[in-house]
Amino acid sequence: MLLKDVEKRLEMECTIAVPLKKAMLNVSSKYETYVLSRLLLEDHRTYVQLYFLKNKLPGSLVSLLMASRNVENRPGYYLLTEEITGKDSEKLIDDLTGIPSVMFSSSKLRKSEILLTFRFLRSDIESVNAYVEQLTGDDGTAYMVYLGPSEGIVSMINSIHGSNPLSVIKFDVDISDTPLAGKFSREDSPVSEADSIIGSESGRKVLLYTESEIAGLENFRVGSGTYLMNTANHAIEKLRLAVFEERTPVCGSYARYSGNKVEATIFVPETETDSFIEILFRQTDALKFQLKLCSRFNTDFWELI
Amino acid sequence: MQDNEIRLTQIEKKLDMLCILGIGVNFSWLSKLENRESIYPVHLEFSDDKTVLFVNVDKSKLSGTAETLVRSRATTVNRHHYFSVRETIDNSKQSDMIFQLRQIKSVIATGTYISGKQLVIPFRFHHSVLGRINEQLRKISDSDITAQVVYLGSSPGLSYLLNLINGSMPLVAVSYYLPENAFKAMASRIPEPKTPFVSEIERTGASEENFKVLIYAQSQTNLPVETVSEKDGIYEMEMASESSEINLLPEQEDSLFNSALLFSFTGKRAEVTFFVPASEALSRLRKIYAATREKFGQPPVLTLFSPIGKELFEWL
Repeated sequence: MLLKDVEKRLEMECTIAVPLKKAMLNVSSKYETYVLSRLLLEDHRTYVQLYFLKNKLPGSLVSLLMASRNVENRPGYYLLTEEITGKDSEKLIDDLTGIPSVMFSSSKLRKSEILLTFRFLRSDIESVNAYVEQLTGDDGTAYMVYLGPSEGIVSMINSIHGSNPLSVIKFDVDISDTPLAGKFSREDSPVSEADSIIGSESGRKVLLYTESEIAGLENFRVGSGTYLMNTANHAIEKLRLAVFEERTPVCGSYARYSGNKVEATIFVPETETDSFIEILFRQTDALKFQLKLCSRFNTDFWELI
Repeated sequence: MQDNEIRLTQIEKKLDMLCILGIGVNFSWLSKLENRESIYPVHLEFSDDKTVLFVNVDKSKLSGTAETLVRSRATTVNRHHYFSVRETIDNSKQSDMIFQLRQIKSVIATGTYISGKQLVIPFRFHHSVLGRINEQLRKISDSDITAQVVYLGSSPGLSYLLNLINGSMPLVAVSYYLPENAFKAMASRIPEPKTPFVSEIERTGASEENFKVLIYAQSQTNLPVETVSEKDGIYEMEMASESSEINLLPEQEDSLFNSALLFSFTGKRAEVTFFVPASEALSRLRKIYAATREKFGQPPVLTLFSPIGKELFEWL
């Protein structure tokens, strides 16, 4: 299977607006575009990290960013870290992540709020609804922007690429020492999706999409041909942590299982390609990684990944 | 989508004809607003002696002077992003014609607005009542009535009319299903066979608290209905506002424009869909949560909260 075959497996999508703690970006009132970001869960606090890619920034925003205390100046971008307002928002994000199929997929800066989008299985609509009512308030906390059919992964990535040019990086990982080794042939190779916008020390969420039901995985099943896994592999987990520590923004992280290897596909901002490759090759398990593709993204790649 | 759910695309052209009626109006304050090309969405209330309308003006499109002009009118209500101005058409012959049109079986008004000096009322209806529509339209020749047939012909469908309003008043579609106990209570009152159906429900007028309910059913229904078209599966019934079924639905009195509420019953679930100006969507949702909790002790299950557009209508 290709990623495009499962891009709408999570058929529903919800976007919530989360106000940022400070009216930090007065100039950003005119700035509605994808600002890459991710959530950071640390010490029971939720932070949002915004990646302002330098080559895209209006000058007025640069000076404002430079004046902020919470900004790190990185080679390709400014990294702004802000805590999310209120205990409720933090708990909300945590609770939503706890719903099996909920996958936070993208985030966008709009004025002084962050639009967070998560996708989920229609069968989880009632679980998601447990949190919907608190999203109808007008009390300055998180509120509902959209609930409905998902646009899917393909148009999400295409749209991010439209405002933040992306690179696609593809590499093979040897998984011959894991339980999933040899489980899938090239024909039925399932595709997995990892949470790329939530960062924490304690692992991540991975959903595995298969063509048919897989015997032995019943305990992980969250929907038809959909399984909730932990990170499949030690080497990948180490890579993830290294990327997390380096704060390199990742806009999508997918993999295809086939024989004794995983073919991983990562989308990063074009400006961060070198930095990602460097981390990849720096890994002590580097022999397990084999870089197969590194290129500016274009939509033809959907036929390959 | 569940198996026996009826899609909007399947029913939106069941009322296969459309008559767009233009009624001459002359509200002096409105003609003083600079932007005369504008479409002002209207909520129209039907009554036989005078027609009451609420004209909605987008605040963001008003200059300072124009805003003062609108704000200072005695009948202006401040509604989030809009001023809603109450007006009447006192010409009783004109009002009577509009009212009589609306009384005809299957006729439903969707997306009424004012453009220039015309109140534009799009009436959707089933072709079987074309003769009765004509009886009313003949009254246009009466010199006391200023009206014109802007369009009469096949209907482009409900979504087309909603998209038209969406252009000047961004709309959000909201769908939710009733909590289990409310669904059971409702299902128990629906006679066997419990045929899946979608209904379009619209309040008849300001004074009579009655609802016009159009029912699109897949097969024969034993609901107490009058048949509009057996072949096309269209039925109609009237319901009183105090009836327990109507009680299950969100209140419509706040509406800023004419659009029916859709109610679908599948045998497993009862789902409500309605269209609301984006600026009022969250507050409407809060009211629905509060009312549903109050009536049933349980919240509804929200399944859709989305700006309207082509893709959405294909999905609904």
